[in-house]
Amino acid sequence: MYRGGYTGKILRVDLTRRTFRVEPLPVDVARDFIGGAGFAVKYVYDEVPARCDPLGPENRLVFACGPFTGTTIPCSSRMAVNAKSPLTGTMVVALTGGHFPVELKAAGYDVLIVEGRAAEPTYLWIKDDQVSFRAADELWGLMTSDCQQVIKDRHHDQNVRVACIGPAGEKLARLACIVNERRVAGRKGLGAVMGSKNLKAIAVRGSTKPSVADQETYTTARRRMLKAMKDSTSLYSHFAHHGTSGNLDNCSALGIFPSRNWTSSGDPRYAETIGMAAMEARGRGKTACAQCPVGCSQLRLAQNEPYQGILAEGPEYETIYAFGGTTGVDNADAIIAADRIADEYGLDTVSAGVSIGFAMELFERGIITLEDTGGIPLAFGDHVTMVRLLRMMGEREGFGDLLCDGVKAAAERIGRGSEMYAMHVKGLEMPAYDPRGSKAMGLSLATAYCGADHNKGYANQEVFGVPYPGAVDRFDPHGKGELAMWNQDASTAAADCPTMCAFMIGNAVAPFLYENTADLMRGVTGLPFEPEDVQRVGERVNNLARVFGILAGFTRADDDLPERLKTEPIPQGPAAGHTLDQAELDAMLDDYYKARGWSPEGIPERRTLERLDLGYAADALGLS
Amino acid sequence: MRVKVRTIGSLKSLLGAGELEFVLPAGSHVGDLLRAIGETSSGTVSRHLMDVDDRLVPPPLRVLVNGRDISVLEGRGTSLHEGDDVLILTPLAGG
Repeated sequence: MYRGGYTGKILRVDLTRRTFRVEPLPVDVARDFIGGAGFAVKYVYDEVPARCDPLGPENRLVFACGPFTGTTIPCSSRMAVNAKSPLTGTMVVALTGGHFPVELKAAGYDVLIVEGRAAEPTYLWIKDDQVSFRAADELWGLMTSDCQQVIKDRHHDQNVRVACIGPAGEKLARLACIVNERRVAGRKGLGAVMGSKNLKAIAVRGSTKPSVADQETYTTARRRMLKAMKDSTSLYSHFAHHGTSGNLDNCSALGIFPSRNWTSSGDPRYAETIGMAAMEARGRGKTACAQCPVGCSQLRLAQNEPYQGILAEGPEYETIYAFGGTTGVDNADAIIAADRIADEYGLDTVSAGVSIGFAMELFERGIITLEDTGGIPLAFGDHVTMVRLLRMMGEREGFGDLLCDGVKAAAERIGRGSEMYAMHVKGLEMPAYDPRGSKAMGLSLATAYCGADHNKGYANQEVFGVPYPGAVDRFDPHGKGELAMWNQDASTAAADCPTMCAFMIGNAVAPFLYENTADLMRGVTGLPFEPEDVQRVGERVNNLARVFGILAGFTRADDDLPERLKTEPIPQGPAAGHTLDQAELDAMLDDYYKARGWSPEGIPERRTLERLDLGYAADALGLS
Repeated sequence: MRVKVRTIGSLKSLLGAGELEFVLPAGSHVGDLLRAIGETSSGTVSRHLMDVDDRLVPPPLRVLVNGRDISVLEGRGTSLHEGDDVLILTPLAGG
């Protein structure tokens, strides 16, 4: 059925019945959604009731590769994971890299859908067309790296790839994530969904390679992409040696690096203590995802007591912000240790750090006391307590039991006005970009279907000055509606669907982003993709995800930013004084909804949905 | 007039400091400042600042005056004034 790229097969696994079946991937789905995030959104929309309990048996986990996954297209080992999130209540799509994506594709599947709930702790073993349900009672309780190693040893094959949960997912922590190698499908509680299904791990081994439909077109497009990567002013000269740690220096210089639970954005001290130089001094080489010539993942070794000897793959910028800036911690070794510990427990680093920073502020304000924390005093900058709390969150122990479900849930349980200090959008903790100094970024965070996800509409234009589709003034709210939409749709369609690492956008292919994907699609699959077809896929995916959110109960009121960002200016540093008040946010939302073809209430109009071949979604909304 | 120049990364290493003060004649613009920095530094710095192709990805030089990209102001013709903060960033894109 498919000339290239796709395996053409969906593996559907029923954990309740311990059965599986293989279904064909419909060609119209491939054409309309490309793959990866597109498939992940499509199948969750179709199969998960929008109002279901995310930790109940009706929820489904969708793991989706794309037609690029497993080919020799550079930076293509990516996989989308989706479900209804217990953290946000929306569908969410997390992306992971490493080697698992390529192995799942090699086993012969474009998509894996997991439904039901196993009666006992279970892991899935997938070896090409052989699928079995294995007892995981001895794996239950294991940290993620141990779990992966034990499974490889059991199967006498060190090339088995494993995606698993740690103790946090087993204990249904809403901040729990799914870990493969040292990579993570993070941010949205997908680990808790897996834990709710008693699914400890998915182990996979495959032996096939995708075909290429049109070798000449493929080779030309691939060469063009590789040349753009080689010509990049940053990719091999900087990114390959530092990963994203340099972004701390960058955002700090722009005055938009948040710290101390967002009370001190613009504080310049962190660039010196936990920025690029501090991390470089702890570097121990690097690793790369499959088919990646860049190798941006840096290995870093903590040097000083009590963290000496702890190795992490990372920390990346967001993790440095979460365990550094937002907690007020300026100890690079503590951040490396926290990164590793979070990965072992299977806890999202960003949300975990922001949750700890939230608790620190509440304690300093007297809103919570020693009675709430079980006798543990909290203070910004106290890295020993930060690491202690992190372990407690991973174990759901004591005060950690409250924090491991995120700031929104914690604020609801605490009350006492704590909601004011909970830094999230739709339940997802804020990432490391102050919207008051980067308006399109802020608008993307407010409107993304899964909450404050910096990877859904990254504003390369504002953060890095990448002038595609054009140069912008980061403080000016005008025109940011169209820009946020462009960023969301472009990264979705050009990176998250085919699967391509999104770091290639700002670093290399931005000037011909849609062409790059369209040319590679024609080459790999032989399907007639043009740049505008790719763009339309991005719009389609984001509209469908939006409709799911509306059906789940979300409205314009949820397209918002934390209150303190709307009532206070940036307090210090190079962007001091800049604001983003409610009136400005409202104007940007109006602008965005108009660009999207949505009503002033943020509901996609029927004509928009029909233009995107989503008439069924308009019917679901009851639109005339 | 005096302007503050801030930088990070490889340019900071080349200049030897992350924050410097430059004195320029009244009426100077960004291009004048970049030339002045180049003239007081090594040839490497001068090439880095002056000999740039803005079509490259990411832009090899990103200059912001009081927080705003010069690409939305007057480019290298952007006027400078007493006390201006000029941020010169080396290329990187990812976070």
